[in-house]
Amino acid sequence: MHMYLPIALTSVNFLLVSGIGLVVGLLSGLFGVGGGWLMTPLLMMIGIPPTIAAGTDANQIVAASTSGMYTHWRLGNVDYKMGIYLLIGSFLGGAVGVKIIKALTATGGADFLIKITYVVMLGIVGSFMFVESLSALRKAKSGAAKPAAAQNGTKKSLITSLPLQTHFEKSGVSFSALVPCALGALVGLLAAIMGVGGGFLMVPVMIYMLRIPMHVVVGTSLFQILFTCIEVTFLQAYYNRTVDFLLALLLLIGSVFGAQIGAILGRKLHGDQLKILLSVIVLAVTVKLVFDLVLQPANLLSYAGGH
Amino acid sequence: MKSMNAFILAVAALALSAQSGAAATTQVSPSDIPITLFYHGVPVEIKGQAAPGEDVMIKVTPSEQKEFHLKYKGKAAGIFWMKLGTLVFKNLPSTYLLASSGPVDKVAAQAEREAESLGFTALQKKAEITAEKGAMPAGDWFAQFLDFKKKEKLYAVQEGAVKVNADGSYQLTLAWPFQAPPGTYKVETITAKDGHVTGRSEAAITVELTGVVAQLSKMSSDNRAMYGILSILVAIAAGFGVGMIFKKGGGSH
Repeated sequence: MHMYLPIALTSVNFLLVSGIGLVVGLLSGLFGVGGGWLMTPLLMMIGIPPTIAAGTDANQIVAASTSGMYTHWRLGNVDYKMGIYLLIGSFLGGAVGVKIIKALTATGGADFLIKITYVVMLGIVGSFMFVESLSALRKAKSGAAKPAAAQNGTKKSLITSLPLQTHFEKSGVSFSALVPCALGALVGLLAAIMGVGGGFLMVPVMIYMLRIPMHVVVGTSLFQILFTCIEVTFLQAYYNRTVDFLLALLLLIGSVFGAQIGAILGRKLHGDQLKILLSVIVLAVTVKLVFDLVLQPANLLSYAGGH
Repeated sequence: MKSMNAFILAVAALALSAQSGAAATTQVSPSDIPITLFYHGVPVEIKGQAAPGEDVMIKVTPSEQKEFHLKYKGKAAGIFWMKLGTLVFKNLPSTYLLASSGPVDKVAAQAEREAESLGFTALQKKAEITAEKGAMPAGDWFAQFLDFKKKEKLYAVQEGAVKVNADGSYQLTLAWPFQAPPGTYKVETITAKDGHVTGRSEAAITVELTGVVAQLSKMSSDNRAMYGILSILVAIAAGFGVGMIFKKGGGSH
């Protein structure tokens, strides 16, 4: 029932770790998010050192997002063109973010920036999604027609006036290639600061700003997360020795199945129902983070690393 | 004449001490603890011989003592609890397991407890806690450290856990914590009578990674690129594998 982890140097319950993987994988398949924002705190709660929890997360997300993306690819839900532009942006943004964190770590301000960024970003994204989805669900119930995106007129004209105009066939939208690049850069920057894959930011922005259909958003987001996490896994293993292969194996046993179940479940749920569910989870994490920030911790000491 | 008397007394005291010291023995089983894939700590049997009527204390600490660097949290801007800096803990072992045949403060007098680092109060006397940078923050940082280590199961005091028989033989079954990292540990048996230390003996425990656990640990350290690529490939294969299973299982729409 227990397995010893060679890098974390601790023994863990096989079923408990796979169960954590299953829950996070379920969210990954359901919403197209990597789940790093949930996995790292859960692993720390069972005694995994923070740096190893964060490093190993990336490795198991590779498995979960491969599994989830494979299903979405078969369903025709991946916009590769969009995904590659997002990836280019996120690689660049991530590199800048890593440098910012390095500089702030030296001055001691990184921890504060990370926590505040989490609270602000998750709070904004969660609240917006919740209100928007709730109003969409109410309108659907009352039989009212969906309003046209008239309020986006100014934003659209700005986007269409940018160079490198491209049509994204799978998503059914047309705008400048600079838009997904800039979005990827912003998410990559925030992801590097916050230490997560960035799916929970990418998904709402693609839905609400770029007006891409929900099912394509999930598949494309998983595509971007997969490649980001491949890069992160290699860098963490090579430079920091913080990837525990056995821990990742236990997590991915649960997460790959969870991702499949999530993807199947996602097809049975309405897009607005999915959005409202994700917004509730994001808001719950925000509330937990706020409590973590303002309530005195049980112990004031911790090992270096993690958030 | 006075110096002769002093010499005789000193020799007698030394002989008595040597006699008591010689009586104390320590045997540890197992003395080598292999960390295998399914390792979750092991029971360690510690037994030996003391002089009849003596109390026994058994202390386990790492053979090498290093300083710790731990992050500390404090209030930033009067609202938020944040990691504000690093504290350095010196003269404290990374693992400290103490078991005794009775209450430690009764078995050994205060001066002897402090000299032998017996009990948390004695450890506190020797501990040196400083801030890595800047001024030392206010707070009982030793109490925080103790709580931190106890939660890790690496600091424990078990009073009354050592069973001493009428003939002076003793035994202790120690639940070796899986949290204790690989390395060599010193097992010290300290005997005492009427609050004074009368003898001591030592044994060692070696904790070592073996099999797959050792191979993976070695690879992650000696061949990092290969380890990273292997981790990625296994994850991708697992993801695709499960995707195929679900496809065959009728997961398509």
